[in-house]
Amino acid sequence: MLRTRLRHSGVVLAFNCAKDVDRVQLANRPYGPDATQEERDAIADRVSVIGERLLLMHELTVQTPFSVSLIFDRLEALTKDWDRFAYVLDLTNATRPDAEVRAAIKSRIARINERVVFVAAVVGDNRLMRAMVRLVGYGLGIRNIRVCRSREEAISEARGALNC
Amino acid sequence: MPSTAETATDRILSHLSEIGAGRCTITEEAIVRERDPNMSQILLGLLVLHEDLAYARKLRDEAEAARLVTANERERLLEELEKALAARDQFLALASHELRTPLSTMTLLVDNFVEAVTVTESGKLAALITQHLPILKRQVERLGTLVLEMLDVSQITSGGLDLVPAPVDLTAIVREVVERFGLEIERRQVTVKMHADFPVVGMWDGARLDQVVTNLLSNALKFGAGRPVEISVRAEADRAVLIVRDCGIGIAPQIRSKIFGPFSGAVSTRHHAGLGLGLWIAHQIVRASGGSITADSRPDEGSTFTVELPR
Repeated sequence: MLRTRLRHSGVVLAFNCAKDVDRVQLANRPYGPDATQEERDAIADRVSVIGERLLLMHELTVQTPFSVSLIFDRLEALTKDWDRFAYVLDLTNATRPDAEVRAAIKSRIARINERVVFVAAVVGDNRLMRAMVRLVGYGLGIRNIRVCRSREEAISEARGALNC
Repeated sequence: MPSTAETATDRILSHLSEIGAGRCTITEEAIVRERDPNMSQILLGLLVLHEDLAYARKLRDEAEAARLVTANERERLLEELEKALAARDQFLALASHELRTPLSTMTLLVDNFVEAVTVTESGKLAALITQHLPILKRQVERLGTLVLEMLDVSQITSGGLDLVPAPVDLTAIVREVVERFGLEIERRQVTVKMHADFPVVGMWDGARLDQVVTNLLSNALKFGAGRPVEISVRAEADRAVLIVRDCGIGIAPQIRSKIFGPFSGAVSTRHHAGLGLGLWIAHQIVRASGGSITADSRPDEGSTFTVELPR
């Protein structure tokens, strides 16, 4: 995977040029503590910086408390110097999280929620995930969430929200 | 004919009633099929509510199970602590008794000497000294043994034994110990058969190994009921084997597993003097030497102790 460093507004941003290409091919299965280091890296790399104060979080098909922890650890590391940011949450291939995963997500979102100004969720034509995003977003207290059909639309919405 | 609003309300109430009873018949397929987007959202909300309640119940059950395990573990540890305290108290009472007995004898003997020196003729005094000094010596030795045992307990329990290995002949040690017990063997009129014809040399702590043989032979004589005792030493490829066998009172099955533990004399101390620490100390020394010690015993048929040491 190519990594490019850009000096932008005095802040060094590290992001993945080939964001959707994982180092290893992740399977559609629940990942737990038995995951290899390569698999852990590939899960964490699902989060990347795509612009100033803007991230992309590409959710796994099957989420677990373990994968949630890896993904949010990376998100927190990438945003540690930002007092506000937005992210695009790509749920195109994601299945509905179970109660345990929702509890894990809720706990991690509570830690960053103050700094999140906007979330654009990409669900494609998945009606169930569309409803789920609204429900979970509401339940988690995410202040500004938008459901989008495509990633491009979501990025555009997020950029717009950040510039407001 | 009910209105659409009433039907939707009925559906929601029906699902809520089910969820209240711990069930839910809403499926993802039904949510996706639902034409009314609001109802679809509500159904998903109800399904999520049911799942969250079930998850909360699961967490509560797990927490309760963990609390029970903790409570049981605490109770077990408390019970072990009470047993350990009882064993310590028993040991202190026994140690106190064991230390007092030779001291009383010695005090009596010294009183006799003082009296003899002041009022008895010199010939009588010499006879008294000849008669009493060996008893005094035995009591001093007994006290010395008890104090050494207590020092061993202190050393073992405060961090283990500090062995000094050097080339040692186990056969020679066994011979020395048997010789040292000569008077005791004679007094008890016991036959001690030795099968130790060749040197068996290994890297061990000689003084500690002497203690192991001493404790095993001492027990064999003490609990051997005056019957023959056998000691054998042999060398195997990578180890030395010491066997001490008596034909005495044996060890009851229910206490056999405890005999290598501290403060757990297998036989009533009313009949047999000592702190009941000999086997525990022997076990600790053998284990610290990288070896093993086992016991095979039947009540009234005797006991066999086998020590295996790496060479």
